[in-house]
Amino acid sequence: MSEVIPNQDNPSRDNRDAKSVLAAANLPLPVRDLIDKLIRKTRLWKREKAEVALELIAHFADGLEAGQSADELVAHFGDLKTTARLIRRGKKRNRPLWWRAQRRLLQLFTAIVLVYIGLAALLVMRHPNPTIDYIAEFNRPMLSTPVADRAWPIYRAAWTKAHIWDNGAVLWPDKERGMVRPGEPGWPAAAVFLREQAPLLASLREAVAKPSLGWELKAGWEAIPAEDRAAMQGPSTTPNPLSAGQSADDPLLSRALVSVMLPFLNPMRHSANLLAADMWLAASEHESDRLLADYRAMVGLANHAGQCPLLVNQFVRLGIIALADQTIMALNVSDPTLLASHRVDLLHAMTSAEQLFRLDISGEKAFYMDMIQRVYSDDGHGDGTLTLDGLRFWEQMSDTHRIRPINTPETALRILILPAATTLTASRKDLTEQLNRFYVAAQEDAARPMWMKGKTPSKVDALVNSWKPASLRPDYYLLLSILAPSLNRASTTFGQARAVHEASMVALSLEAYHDKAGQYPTDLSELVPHYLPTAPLDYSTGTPLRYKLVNGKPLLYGLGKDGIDDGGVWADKKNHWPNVPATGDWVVYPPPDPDAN
Amino acid sequence: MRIEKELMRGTGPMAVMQLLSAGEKYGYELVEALSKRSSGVLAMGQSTLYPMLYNLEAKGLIVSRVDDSGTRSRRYYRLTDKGTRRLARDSKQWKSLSEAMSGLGFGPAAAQEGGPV
Repeated sequence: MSEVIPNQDNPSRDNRDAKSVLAAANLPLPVRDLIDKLIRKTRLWKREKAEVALELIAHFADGLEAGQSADELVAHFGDLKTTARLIRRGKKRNRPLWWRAQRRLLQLFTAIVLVYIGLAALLVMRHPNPTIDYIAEFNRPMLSTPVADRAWPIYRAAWTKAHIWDNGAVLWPDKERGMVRPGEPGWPAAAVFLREQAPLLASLREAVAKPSLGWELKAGWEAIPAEDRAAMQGPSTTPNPLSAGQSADDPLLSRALVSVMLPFLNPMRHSANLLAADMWLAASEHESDRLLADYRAMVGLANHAGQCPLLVNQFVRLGIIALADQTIMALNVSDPTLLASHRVDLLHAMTSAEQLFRLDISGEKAFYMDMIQRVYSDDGHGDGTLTLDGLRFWEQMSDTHRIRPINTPETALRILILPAATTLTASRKDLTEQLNRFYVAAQEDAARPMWMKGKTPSKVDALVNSWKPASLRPDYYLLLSILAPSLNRASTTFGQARAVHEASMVALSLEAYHDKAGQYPTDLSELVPHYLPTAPLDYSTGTPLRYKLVNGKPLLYGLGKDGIDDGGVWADKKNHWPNVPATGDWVVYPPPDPDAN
Repeated sequence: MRIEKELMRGTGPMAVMQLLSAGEKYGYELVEALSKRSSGVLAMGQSTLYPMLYNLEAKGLIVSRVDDSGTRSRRYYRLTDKGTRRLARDSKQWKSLSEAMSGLGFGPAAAQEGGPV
């Protein structure tokens, strides 16, 4: 047999493709077709195809040279598809390392994507199933109170009549300086206004005598009866900004604590300011009965504001009672004889107010538990995973309670991030366990004496620090860790307000002692037990409160954070009273002059 | 007689390496040698041989070179050191297996005694 193919160069050197190599081969048509089909089926690189083509051309040429016919060779070749697949597999195994590594990575990535999609599909099928109605639990004590013992109808009528939403700007002629006081330029106009408010103030004094505020918590502004809304917002048809986009139909938000509106807090704060201003007016008019009644009304108002156990309510409660105490202090400083006839009654009223300084964090825990049951699925055994509905709920929580309409792109995005979010956040069981530990620690911190708080790390901080490895993943405990600073701050604020409250009582006791003895005592222990049950403490150090007479007037102070007795000098320019100063002494009575500070 | 695919899967590469242990060969030579020296028992077509050669090459047991000096371009295959070691190991195992099978009554001696072949 004659030569069937010409001598060929190595295709890897001349970069020829399989087609040209095959075209140059002098092979019978059936054989050439077979090789052509096979090469095409291999789907190899151009160079690889040329190599295989050359090898097969040589092979068939050898077969023909050995005397086999083209038809025999084609018939005995075997299955074209299988051969192409095996050749492809063999050749690919000879490819460079970088290509094989890249292929493995691609396979790995594809596998991860498939697992991720599978996980997303699994998670999308899970839904939250809230079983505890915390709003109903919060409302239970109020609803069990007889209607006659509820203050809300009185507040509502009084605020509606007084247009509380548009009332009292005259009390703040200069917002920078705070509420106007006797002797200041704006006071005459304020006094006229306050006298006009006598009916409102009388109603407030009547309302606070009721044991219960009588406000039923509801989710969403629209759920609040129109009459109640009008009492706080007026007859305006402008929707409340917080109500925009809300829907009572949303199954997760319709009974969520996060949707609860507390619109009565602002009118309460304003009512407290009116009462404080009226205390000044009563003092200027030497009406100490009214002054005492106003103080008692502020205590009652604070009590009503704090009946809902949420932290915001307790801060409003604290703000009201602190305002009452500071007003008493300022009045006592301005004219100690002013309160002479009612000092004992005032001391009794102040003693009854002590329970208002207890920080209750059970409402915050309920708030978080409610969030968990609306964000996670429920496996019936206390565990669950993040859900699609939960993610939407979570986003809305940080969006001033507005409901985002369900739209396809956002839902698709949430589905996409759901498995990642599930991996990066704690399970329901883990989060619940940490929440329980967190609140036990917070309760222990709240119960610690104030002077211990700066000396040793708080239990909450220690717990949050123990999460450090987990907290490398942001939001692992779904913002639980960011509650720690606010609770620590709340605990300190409550402690400071209590210290000022007690100092006010000591100051009143000193004046009562002076009324009786004609002079101040030489030591605070002389006030015990007739005026005070125990010797007062310096809340910044836990040691006895320092007392001395300056220009014949009492000065009460603690040692502050540095624990050094500076003789009762407020020296910290950065901290403002009543915060405990870093340097100098913590003067609690009389309050340091803010202009001098 | 043709060998079942499963049996061929193990013996085919060993047979090819054994042939290459005598020196380098190109594809057609290997097909011919396998057919003739095994009396057709280990005969394999190009559809089996070439993928097998590529796999052995990927494992580093054989290497190839292209020779353009003759009348046609040929790809020659030869054993590597690794292939030589693997062949030695596989041969040893094969010998042990063969002896074991003989002990069970397989093989020429058993056939003469009337046992299974």
